Amino acid sequence: MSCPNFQELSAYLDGELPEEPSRKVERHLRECPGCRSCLDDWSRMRKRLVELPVPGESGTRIFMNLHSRRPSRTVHVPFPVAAAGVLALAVSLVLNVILLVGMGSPTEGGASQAGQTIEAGSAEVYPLGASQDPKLEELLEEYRLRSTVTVVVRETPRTDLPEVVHEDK
Amino acid sequence: MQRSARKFEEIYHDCFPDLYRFVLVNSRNYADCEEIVQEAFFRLYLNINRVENPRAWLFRCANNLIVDGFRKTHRAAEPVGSVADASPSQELPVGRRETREKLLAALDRLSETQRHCLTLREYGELSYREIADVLGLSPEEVGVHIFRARRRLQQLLEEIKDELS
Repeated sequence: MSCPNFQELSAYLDGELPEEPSRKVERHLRECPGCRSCLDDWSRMRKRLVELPVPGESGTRIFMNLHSRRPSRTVHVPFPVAAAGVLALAVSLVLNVILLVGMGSPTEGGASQAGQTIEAGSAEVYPLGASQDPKLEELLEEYRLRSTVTVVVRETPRTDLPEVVHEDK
Repeated sequence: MQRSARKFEEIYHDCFPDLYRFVLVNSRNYADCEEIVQEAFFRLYLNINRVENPRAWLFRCANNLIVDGFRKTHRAAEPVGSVADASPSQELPVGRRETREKLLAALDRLSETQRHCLTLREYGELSYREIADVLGLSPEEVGVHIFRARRRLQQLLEEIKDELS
């Protein structure tokens, strides 16, 4: 067999020749030192290329950068589940709104508002122990049952003591 | 999630050196090289569970980034030799650094297509068919470019044989 051309040898080196031509080249290489030498040269060149030094610090730096760029954890929820969740949330919101409207505005209820007059001792309006302010609770206790107090609660700051205006009955 | 992270780390350790070499040879700029390698790995991370052949995917992605980078900036790439001093690898012994610069300079003298074909083959271990898909060529054309690149590079390396350690 005559020498294969360079392109065939190159394809042989890359394992790109079909089976039969590849076997022919293999047989030829056993007899031809010139073609063997050519393949050896290319193999050495390949080795030189893949041994091109890579700076170790680049590998570490890039990996650390990638670590900081990684997106936060995401959870993929199937569409039907996501749709059901959104629907449930919407229904819950609507029910809450209906419930709140049915109960009236907060100023009519028990929540304390700045400047609101409340009756001491009335559990419905301002239950004792509900303010979580020991000083306020003490004052309310003192005037409980015998007087009406006007409690002015300043909106800010919360640590302020309420101004208590004593009105004798 | 943890499994994906582990898989990614394995791919990183397996592919990083070769991908870095491929990008350095073809981008011919150390700063661009790091950015492109990082971007390619980041995109792989985002698609880790959808990619069948991560190595081929990475090299294809990096190749596209190199080509897009050149298209966007419209600048001629600086030969690596001219930015050798900016190389981050001052840790390398002088002799090895010089050898690397000479090898890069020799690769730089191949045509762009020859260089891309040869390096996709040698570093990416892509088949002729895969290289053809990446570069928009036929597998036969890829074969021709690779063998011409080998022959030319062999001549160039022969010229500087004594200078290479």
